[in-house]
Amino acid sequence: MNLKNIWVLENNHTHTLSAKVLGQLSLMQSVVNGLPNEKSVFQFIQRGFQDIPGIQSVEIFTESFDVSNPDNKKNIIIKKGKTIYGIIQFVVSDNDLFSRYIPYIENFAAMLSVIFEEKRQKIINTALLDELKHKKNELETKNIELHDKNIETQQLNEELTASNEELITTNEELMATNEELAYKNNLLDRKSIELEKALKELKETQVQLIQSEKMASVGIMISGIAHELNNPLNFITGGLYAIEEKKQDLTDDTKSLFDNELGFIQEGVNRSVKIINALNNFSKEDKIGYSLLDVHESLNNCIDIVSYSSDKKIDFQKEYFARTTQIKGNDSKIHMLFMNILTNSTQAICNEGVISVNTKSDENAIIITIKDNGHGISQNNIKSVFDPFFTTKEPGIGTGLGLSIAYNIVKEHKGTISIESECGKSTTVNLWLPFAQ
Amino acid sequence: MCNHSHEVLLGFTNKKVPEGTHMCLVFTDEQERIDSMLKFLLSGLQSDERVACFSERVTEDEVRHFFKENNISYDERKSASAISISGTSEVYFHENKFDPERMLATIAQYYDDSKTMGFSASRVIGEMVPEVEKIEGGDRLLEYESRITMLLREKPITAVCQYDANLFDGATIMEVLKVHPQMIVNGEVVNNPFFIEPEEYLGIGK
Repeated sequence: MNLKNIWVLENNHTHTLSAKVLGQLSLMQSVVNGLPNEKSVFQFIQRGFQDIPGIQSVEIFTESFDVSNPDNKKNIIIKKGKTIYGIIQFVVSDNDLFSRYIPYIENFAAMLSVIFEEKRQKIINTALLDELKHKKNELETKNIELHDKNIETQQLNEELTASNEELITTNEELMATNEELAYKNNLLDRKSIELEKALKELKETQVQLIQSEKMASVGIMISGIAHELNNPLNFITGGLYAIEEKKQDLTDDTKSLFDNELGFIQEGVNRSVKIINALNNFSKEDKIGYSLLDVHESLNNCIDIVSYSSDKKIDFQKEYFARTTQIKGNDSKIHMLFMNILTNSTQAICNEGVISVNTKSDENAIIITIKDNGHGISQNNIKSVFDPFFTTKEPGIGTGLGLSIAYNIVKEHKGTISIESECGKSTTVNLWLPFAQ
Repeated sequence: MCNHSHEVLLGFTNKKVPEGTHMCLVFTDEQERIDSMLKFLLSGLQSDERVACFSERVTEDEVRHFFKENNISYDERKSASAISISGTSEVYFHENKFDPERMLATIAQYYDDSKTMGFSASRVIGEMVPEVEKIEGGDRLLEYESRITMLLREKPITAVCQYDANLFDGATIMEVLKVHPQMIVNGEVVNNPFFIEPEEYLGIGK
């Protein structure tokens, strides 16, 4: 098998050159390219150069080298451009013999510089490539992390969206609940108002009941008193009758002496009887509820009671229309109605005044007007006069219920009541009570 | 130099070499090593040779897969003792020492057995490991390689010795060249001008 030569250098010294050495140089050139690094190459070629004729030893310097060429040493520099990779220093024993191989060794050194440059560039490139790979791996890892974060964010977003939707639904439910609560609150408010109204009515009714009880008690008491007074009055009436009889036996002159005094006594008895009758009428228990009543009669009874019970100088002026004035109503309550109005009128008058009581009718009802010239009611207060417990009187005078009771009684009898007043001048109460059908 | 007339194909080159050629392959690229090894083994089996491989870095599955792609059943050939795959340490460092005499006897026996079994020839490819420098007897590695050259004159096993330049220093690589008659460079087998005949290298005369 022939030796494979990488190249052949033609020169005058070819015939004296050792083919083996040239082959070695050639083989080293092939092998060094496959060695992993400069150190390995230098180790390899140092051993390889030792067969070159004319040399004693070979040293290779990669740093701190002396480039001088003393006689027995030959330095072959391995350099490319300004970069020196190393120096092969041959310690020469036969300069003439060795010098023939110098061109081949220099060529070899030139080739080595190319190999070293390529190796260094490859190292740099490998390092760069490794760095790029590392960066790429980092980026890929970051990408994966970002992707995972993205997925995580997407999942969070989806969860948030779901939570949002849940919140919206909950909100809608809350709003619906709120509306329901508001509706129920409204209902409660209305119920509350109704309850308050019912409570108010209960209180009014209670007051009315108490008033009725009181009135009933008063009525019983009055009835008792009236009954007790009837007896003495009967005695007085009987005595008067007897005196009249005996007076017939007297002369006219003597009769006239007793006429005035007997007249006063009779008038006193008559008035007492009227008062007792009025009181009896007032205290009469209504055992049958509603019945046909004569309004004028009831008015008259109440006027009598009020006028007699008041120490004020009040002129009661009555003007009634002439026809039957029957209404269907509760006798006690109608009396209470008129009593409350007349009592207020009396109390509105300071010491002296006029209370006019007028009646007239329309097609369906009797219209009663009770007017006093008392202190009147201010416009601020007039709207509250029918409110229970409303009063402008001093504490202890009245309960503030008179007109509210009057109002209720009128309403019970399907009538109407209104008040007009001019402060400091007069107050007029207008009643409209339907006739009995 | 090998003087046997029967030539064999190596697989990783088209050129033939005489059987019993002793070659070294210095590599830095692992793929280059595997490729040349698998092709070398395949070429031997395809020529009905008996083949052996000593390496810490090849698996039966790699070999099986490569052979299958080339229509050869590794398992069948293994069953027929046509191929053996072993670890370097397992073969070379018996009882944890390197014994050149034992290895030479093993190689000689391998050749004789191959002949007895009827194989046309035999070949081996082995990867040396740097642990040899630390093991007992490891300093006799180059002596062993030189004596292999002598053995192969009588027992012409075609042999390839693989040395990883990443694991051995440059000086050792150069010394390895001195004991191998041929070298594989860029896939080609070349005469090695650094080779020193065993008699001279071992100082034993011819």
